[in-house]
Amino acid sequence: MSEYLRDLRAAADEPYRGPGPAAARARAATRRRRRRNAVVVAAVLVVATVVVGFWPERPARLKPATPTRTSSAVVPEPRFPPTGSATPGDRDVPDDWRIDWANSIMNLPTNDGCPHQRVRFVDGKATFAPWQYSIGEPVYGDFTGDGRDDAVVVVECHGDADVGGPESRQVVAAFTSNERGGPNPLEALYSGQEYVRPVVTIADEVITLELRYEGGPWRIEEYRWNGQQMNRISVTQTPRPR
Amino acid sequence: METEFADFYAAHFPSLCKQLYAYTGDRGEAQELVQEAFSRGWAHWPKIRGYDDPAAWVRTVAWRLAVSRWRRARRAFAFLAGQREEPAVPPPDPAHVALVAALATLPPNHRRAIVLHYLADVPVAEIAASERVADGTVKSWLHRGRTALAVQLGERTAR
Repeated sequence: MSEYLRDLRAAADEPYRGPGPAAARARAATRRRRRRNAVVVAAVLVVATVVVGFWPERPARLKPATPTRTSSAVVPEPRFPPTGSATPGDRDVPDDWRIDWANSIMNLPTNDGCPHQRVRFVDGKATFAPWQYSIGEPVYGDFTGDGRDDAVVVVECHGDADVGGPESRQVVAAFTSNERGGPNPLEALYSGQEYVRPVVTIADEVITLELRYEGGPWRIEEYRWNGQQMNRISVTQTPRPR
Repeated sequence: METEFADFYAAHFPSLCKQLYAYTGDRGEAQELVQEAFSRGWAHWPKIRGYDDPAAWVRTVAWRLAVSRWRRARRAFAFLAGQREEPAVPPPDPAHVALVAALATLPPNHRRAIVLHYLADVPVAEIAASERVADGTVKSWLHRGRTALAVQLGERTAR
C-alpha cells in the first residue's frame, strides 16, 4: 500500500503547481488593504461618534419637550432645603430645542465639580456609584448673540465619604443648540460645592446666577459670552430678603 | 526577500498541494488552500522565514483551512462565483486519481493520519499530539486506513 503513497509523493510537480508566489503576495496585499480600510472606517465612525457627542441611540432619546414655563433652574431636592425661584419673563420652550433634558444622554462641559462628563439621565437622575446626579429645569435665552436661544442648566452631583463627602456640588453648564435640537456643551460657567442650587436667569445676553444662602447674604454673579469663553463680569452680594 | 519567498514557494507548493489533494480529493481546492496558506505566509514572512521549518507553518495553516467549516463554506461560495484561481496545469496521473478516490472513502481522521504520515513525513507522535489522541490510536488509524485502501485499490485494479 505504501508504494502507492510513495508514488504520489514522488509524482511530477507539474500537475500540482500553484498560481505562483506573485499571486500569493498580491492576495496578501489585498487582504492587508481591506483590513486597513476596515480599521480606517471603524476609526472614522468612532471619531464621528465622539465629535457629534452622542451615541446612535441619542435621537431616540430626544423627545419633544412639552411646552413648559422656564421659570428657574430650581428642581425639588429632598436632601436640601428649597432655594426659591428666579423671576424671569414667561417663555415657552424655543423651537430650536427638542430635548427632554430629564431623560437625555449628554456630555457636560469640562468642570471641576462633577467627575463624569457623559451622563445618562432618567427622570432627571443618574447614578455612577457612589456618585448621584440630578439635573434641573433648563433656562433658555440668547446669550451668544446669534439670535437663537441657548440654554443653561444646573446639574447637581454628590458622592460619599470616599470621594470627598456627600455635600452637593453644583455645575452651571451652558449649551448652544445643535441642528437636531440637542445640546452642544459650551462651557461650565460655575462649579463648586454649594448647599444651595444656583438660580439662573438670562436677560440681555447676560447670565445671572443667584446663590440664595439661607443664613446670610445672597451672592449674585453675572456672566457674559465673549464669543470664545464665558467672562464673569460682576460679583455682588445682597442682603437676604425678609 | 521576494526572491527568497519565491524559492520557498517553488520548493514546497507542489508537495503541500499533493498532501491537500490526497486529503480533500479535489486538486483545485487543494491548490486554493495551499495558495491561501502561502499568501498568509507572505504576510508573516519576516517572522516565519527565521523558523527552522517554515514549510511546517504553511502546512499547518493549509490543513487548518482545509478542516475549517467556515472556510469550506466560503470556498463553496467562491467556487459557485467562479472566483477560484486555478493555474492551467496538466491533469494528474490516473493512478493518483484512483488513490485519492480510495482515500476519500476513509473516515477523515484515518485519511488525515495516512496523508500526514506517508506524504508529509509527520511522526506518529506529532499526529497524535495535534489530534489529541494517544500514539496507539494513530497507529490503529494508520493500520485500518492502509487495510481499507488495499481493499479499495485491489477492487479497482481487479475491475
